[in-house]
Amino acid sequence: MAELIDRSPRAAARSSPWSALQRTEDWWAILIGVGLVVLAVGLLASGGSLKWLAIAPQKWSHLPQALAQLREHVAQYLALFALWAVLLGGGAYALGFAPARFLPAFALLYVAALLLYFLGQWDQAARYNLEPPLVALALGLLISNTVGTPRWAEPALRVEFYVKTGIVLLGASLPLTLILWAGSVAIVQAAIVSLVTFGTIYFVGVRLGLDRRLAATLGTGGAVCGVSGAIASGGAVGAKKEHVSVAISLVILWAVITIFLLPLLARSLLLPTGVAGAWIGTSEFADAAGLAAAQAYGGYAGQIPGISGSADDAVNAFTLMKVIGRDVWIGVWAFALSLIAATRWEKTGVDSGGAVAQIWRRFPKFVLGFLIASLIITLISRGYSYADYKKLLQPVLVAPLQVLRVWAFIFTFLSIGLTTRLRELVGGGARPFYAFTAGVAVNIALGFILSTQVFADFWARLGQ
Amino acid sequence: MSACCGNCRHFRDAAAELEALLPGLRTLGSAYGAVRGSDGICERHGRYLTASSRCREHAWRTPAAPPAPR
Repeated sequence: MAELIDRSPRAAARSSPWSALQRTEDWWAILIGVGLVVLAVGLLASGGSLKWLAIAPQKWSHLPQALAQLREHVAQYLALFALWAVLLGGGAYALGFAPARFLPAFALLYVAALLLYFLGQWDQAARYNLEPPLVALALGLLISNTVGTPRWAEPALRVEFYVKTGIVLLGASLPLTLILWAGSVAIVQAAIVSLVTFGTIYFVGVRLGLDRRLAATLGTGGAVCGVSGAIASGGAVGAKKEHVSVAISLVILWAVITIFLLPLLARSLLLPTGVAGAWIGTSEFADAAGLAAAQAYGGYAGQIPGISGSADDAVNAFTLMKVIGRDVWIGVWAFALSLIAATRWEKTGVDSGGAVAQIWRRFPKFVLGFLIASLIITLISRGYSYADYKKLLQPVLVAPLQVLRVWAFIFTFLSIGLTTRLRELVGGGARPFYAFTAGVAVNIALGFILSTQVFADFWARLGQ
Repeated sequence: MSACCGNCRHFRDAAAELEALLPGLRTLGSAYGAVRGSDGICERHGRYLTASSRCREHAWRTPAAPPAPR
């Protein structure tokens, strides 16, 4: 049956850049994240707070204490579920997911997240390495690769949607002045590591006889922003479909390994949380994976003797490094590579062009939500002294938004594990693996030197 | 409207379809993100391309003649 072009006004609207943006997770993450910040500010202005709704488990020692907490706050947990179901379900609906399929799956995810959140508040959790991000990932991996994730649960496993929403909310706890101050260092550090990592993967790959487009796709995946980097550069240079698949698989494989490896190495060296966060932000491959590692390491603050800094320092340093330092440049990388591919590399029979417009088109728009959230809170807190901010504003305005952010990240970590199928990650061949792995080794070593030696003082002082 | 991948019948750019065609894409990435733009897979060439790409084997998504220029 022939396909027909829909010439309706709706179809015309669908093709505009504005409507295209509305069909992205970035847009809905901004709408949800900034919407919650605006709601929190509105409630504050009317003498209220999001505190009641933004419920989080408290520290507990014995199981009966945890159960008592749950019973006492059951109405709040149900209300929070309703809030997330409406917001995330609405976004998912706009993206094309039927509510009847999304909501039951999300209910399961919410219950699993609740249990993990409680587990993380056990006062012995750090002693047994039961950091919620790592437990969520390990549990998800176990289920996904043994009994298999139920198909009906898949619509709610939207890693990127949740992590983008969480990062927008994270903007509310980072003053814009800090982002501007730290952003320049993050950009310098990220630029050094990105260029060296890309160069390593690309030149090792070409030396091993890989197609240049595959080498470039692998290089961007390792150097800039993981899977997003791989698909952006893959599209820009017109890579073979199977080459994009190879790059995605290698990014996931190494990202999952480094989620466990980097916190372990940082812990063995007792790195301050800000320094470890910067290292993870420099050397992890994907936002969601890096946040899992950074949040896990942040959990050691105050739990492991010798690790200085706060839990937030790890996540803040990671976000500045990864999002501001690396992610926002993906459009520039794609544009540069598309020009090189069109003018210097062998022809493929397809003209992919090299439009400069892709710098904006590929820009990860959720970063704008992160900056807007930061700007709103910075403006609101402008008239407060630091002491008054901590005493009056932080508990009723910022803390509830931080709790909502943690929820969004737990949804993310669970979704990573439950969607990772290890058998899908093998079969790309030895040469791409060697090239990418060479880049991983250089990336981790250089990221370590820059974070713990060259810029160590800067990252250690981040939270002060 | 000129002939390009975005209006070619060989081009697959629906987000759900792309996530099915590229295993692992939704694990640490997404076909619904702004970064992808309107990229998709050309089944004719077996390549991952921008919607504005062009080739000599373009085939309109409708059997009718291409729309007249505006």
